[in-house]
Amino acid sequence: MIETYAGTLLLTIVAELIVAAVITRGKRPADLFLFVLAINLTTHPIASFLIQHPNLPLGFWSVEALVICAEFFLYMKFAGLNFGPAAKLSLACNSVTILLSLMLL
Amino acid sequence: MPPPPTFSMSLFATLTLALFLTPQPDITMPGFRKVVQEVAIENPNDFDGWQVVAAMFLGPSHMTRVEPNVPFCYSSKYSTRIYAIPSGTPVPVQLDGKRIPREALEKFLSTAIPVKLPSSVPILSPVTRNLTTLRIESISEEAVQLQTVREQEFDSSGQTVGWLRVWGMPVGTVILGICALVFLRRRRLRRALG
Repeated sequence: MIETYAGTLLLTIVAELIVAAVITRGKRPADLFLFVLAINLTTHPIASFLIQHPNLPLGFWSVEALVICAEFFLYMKFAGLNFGPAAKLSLACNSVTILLSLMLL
Repeated sequence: MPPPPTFSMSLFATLTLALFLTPQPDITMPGFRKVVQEVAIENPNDFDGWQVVAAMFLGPSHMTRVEPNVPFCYSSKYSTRIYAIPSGTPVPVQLDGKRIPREALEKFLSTAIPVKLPSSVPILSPVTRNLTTLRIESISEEAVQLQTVREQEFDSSGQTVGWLRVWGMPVGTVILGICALVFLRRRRLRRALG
């Protein structure tokens, strides 16, 4: 299943939901899990396109840095998180998915 | 006096710099796999006095005489090039596994092959092979001019893979994600207003 687009996306979303649940267990904003889902639905396909486009000078790590910045922005502007919690959430979730990418794929 | 930069701000500045400093290595990145790359030339026999071969010297040696619309292997990593050789010149097409010396063809006119299709695709892509079809515009004493006619991608059963099949689901996913974000934000603001 991991070899389908849906499988890869699902794995990313599940991993980030688990990380979000762990790091926000003390004080969890309303609809946080839905925001994690929506943000990943938005950023994951764009990241895939940026990584594989032959005419763009971005590499894997550059794109992952872009994703972290983009998700941080989306957590602040759409989920209403402050700078610190948004940064922590974006960094933590994407660090885990980067590790998963390197280990599994 | 402005507050000192926080750890988070410093980290984000570092990540932003990573956008510009990360090199583009010639390796298959995590989540990607290599595809077979092929090139075909429509008209290699249209130029009197010339024969066209494709060869690469780096890595595994490979040389082939180019026939009309017959695909040959291409490698961006090992620099496959097109050589225009005067007719009648003996060409060592088969060297039985020995490395072809660069000097064998260096003296002849050559050009890089303009392949834009990627050499690797996401593991979730149906593409297993791509084909770039070219046309030789001219062969002169100075240069070989090539023009791209079409670019095609194929799946494992040989069917052409179009844009929609590759990107239909990802684009739909992005649209769904954006709509969900807008809806959730509005709901959050309505709740905040009571």
